[in-house]
Amino acid sequence: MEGSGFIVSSSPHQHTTVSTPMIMSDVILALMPACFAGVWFFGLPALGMMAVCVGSAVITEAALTKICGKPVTVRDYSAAVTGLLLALVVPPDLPLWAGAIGSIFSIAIAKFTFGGLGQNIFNPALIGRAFLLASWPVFMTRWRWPVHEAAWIPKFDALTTATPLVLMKYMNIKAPYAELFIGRIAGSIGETSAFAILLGAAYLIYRGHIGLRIPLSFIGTVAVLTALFGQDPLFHILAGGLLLGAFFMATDYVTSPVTPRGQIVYGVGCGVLVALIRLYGGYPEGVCYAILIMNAATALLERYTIPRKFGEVKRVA
Amino acid sequence: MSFKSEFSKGIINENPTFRMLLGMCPTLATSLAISNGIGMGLAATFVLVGSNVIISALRKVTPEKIRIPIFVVVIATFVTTVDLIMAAFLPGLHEVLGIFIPLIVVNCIIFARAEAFAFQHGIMDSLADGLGMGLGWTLALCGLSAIRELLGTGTILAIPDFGFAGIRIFDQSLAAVMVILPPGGFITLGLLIGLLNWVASRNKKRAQEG
Amino acid sequence: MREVLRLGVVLLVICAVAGAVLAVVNGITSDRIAAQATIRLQQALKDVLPEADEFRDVTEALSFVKAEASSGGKSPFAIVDKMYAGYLRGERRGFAFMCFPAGYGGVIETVVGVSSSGNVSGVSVVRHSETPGLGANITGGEFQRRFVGIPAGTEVKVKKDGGQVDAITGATVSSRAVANAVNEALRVFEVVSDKGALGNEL
Repeated sequence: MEGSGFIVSSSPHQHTTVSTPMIMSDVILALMPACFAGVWFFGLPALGMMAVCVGSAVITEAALTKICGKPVTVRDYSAAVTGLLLALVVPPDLPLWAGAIGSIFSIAIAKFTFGGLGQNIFNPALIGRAFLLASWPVFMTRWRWPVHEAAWIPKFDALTTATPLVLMKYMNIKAPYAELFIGRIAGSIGETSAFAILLGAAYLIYRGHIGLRIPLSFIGTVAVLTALFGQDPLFHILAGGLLLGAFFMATDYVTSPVTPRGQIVYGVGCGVLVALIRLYGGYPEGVCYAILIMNAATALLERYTIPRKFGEVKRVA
Repeated sequence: MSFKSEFSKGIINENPTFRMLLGMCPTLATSLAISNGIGMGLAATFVLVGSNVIISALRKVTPEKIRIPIFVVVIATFVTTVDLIMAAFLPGLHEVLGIFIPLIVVNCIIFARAEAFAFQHGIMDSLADGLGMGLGWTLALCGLSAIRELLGTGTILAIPDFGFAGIRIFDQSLAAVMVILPPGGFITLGLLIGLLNWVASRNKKRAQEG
Repeated sequence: MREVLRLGVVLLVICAVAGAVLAVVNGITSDRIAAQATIRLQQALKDVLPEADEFRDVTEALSFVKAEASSGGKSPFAIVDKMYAGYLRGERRGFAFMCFPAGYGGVIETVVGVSSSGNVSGVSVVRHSETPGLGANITGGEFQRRFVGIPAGTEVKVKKDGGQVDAITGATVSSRAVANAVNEALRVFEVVSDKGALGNEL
């Protein structure tokens, strides 16, 4: 058995023609609406950020696989997806060099120190974001006006403003639903347009690449908890990075549980943490940290939620 | 073992930080600037040499049963001495290193050397061991500090006690703040240990082949 | 029994020697350590009230102000902890206040100087535990100078709260804490300078 190249797991088994490159290229396709929205609302700097992040992620992956003598995994697009996701969760005005360092950190530290593709505990793109936020907090909390101005947003100065969650938490200004849905708000490059994200998510679900358990339990928990604490649940779903996080980050195969019950606990856990951070935390937004914390719990969740084999009797102590 | 080999083993082959992974807590907490690293390292070296020599000298009259309390008293005396002298003459550094100076008392490098080496070896050997281990730790702290100070603040060699703001290598706004926060400490230390292990295993392989 | 006694005596001798060594070290360093604290305080006071060169602790007057102003269980000026009067050649040039406003990572030990003319003459942060790179920038001279010249009778606030002081980018809470300290110090100054008798007494 050893070294035969097969992973042995319990039956039933099924052959599949689905491969990593195929899934990853579908993910990139699904992210296109959000990318397009980012460029539409924040202009060419957003496109530059995507190019730099994807480029540095791919180069880092290629260089490290070569140095470490591992099978070259660049062609499976997974590094490109990491870079693209990172570009979508940083502010449009982040300096390009910082985007490049974030991508390198994502691949080198969050992915390769754990052993490369499929071995990492934490979502690499989100680790990249957390690293950037801790390292250059000033750049990471400076939000640009959308290109198409809107009268309801308070102007801080000629260029900068605040995200809807900041406006809500500290100034009690609520962005209109329509703007949140379309994405004409301040925020990270790819998180502003709920419409674009849902379009991409629908494609991934249609292709069968992501299940609904994690996103729905995640979003549902946030909605229920914010409603319980007297806030507007629809606002909390549409604002910030919740939709992007729930559909594209929390569903990452490597860092989320595979067992059905585990997935639901994981989604609920993410939701509880997001609601806690948004309502009571020091930060206005908590999707990134919530998913990273639940990533750490994934192995434990899988261990406790393995489905019982047919005919297996629960052991009585 | 000669004086020289007892001294040099602590610097590379048995380096307390990179090879034996002793004293990790003060290493992570104080390696923020090279001046901290030198101050902390020399303070610990002083305690280490002093306690090693005294414990070695007293080993014949120290009853086995109460050796641990005696180690504690000897080490604590040296630590308190360092603490008071630093507070009097280097107040700025004392303020920065704060609780970690008194905590040298429970630094496992010092206790480990007292129990595992000084209690079984002669005074000269213990002196060499203390010097080598202390210097090894100081070098490790300085190496780690140099990386963290440069990347985390953009300056190098800042010595606030002498009113020296350091050499600015790049602008403050470009500095990666995370590197001087606790996670930066863990990641930098981990990468350094990994790098040294990689170099060591490569050298070993070469030696075997050659 | 003999064994226990022997162990006790050995430990006693070692502890006695250690105690003697420490007594000597303490004797050498204690004066200097005490002096260091005074030097630091004098330096901080001089930083915020450069016109003066001699400072006297007048915290008693502060307690009086606090007692006078308190009503109905409320204790105003709670964050102002100590008050010093600064003199140049025997003539009073202003006051310095040691304040402890709550920041993001704990209390921020702030010294605020107010000159006799009634303007903020300087702000200095002595000790803090704010986030490096963000809140820790309150120690920068550039930020502290933003308060210099603000006259008594003004409500000191950061711009986000409708005030006049630019907060540090990404560190509103820390900036707000320092502004709060300056504000409270100015309030105390107003009370003190209103009370002519008290002012002359100092």
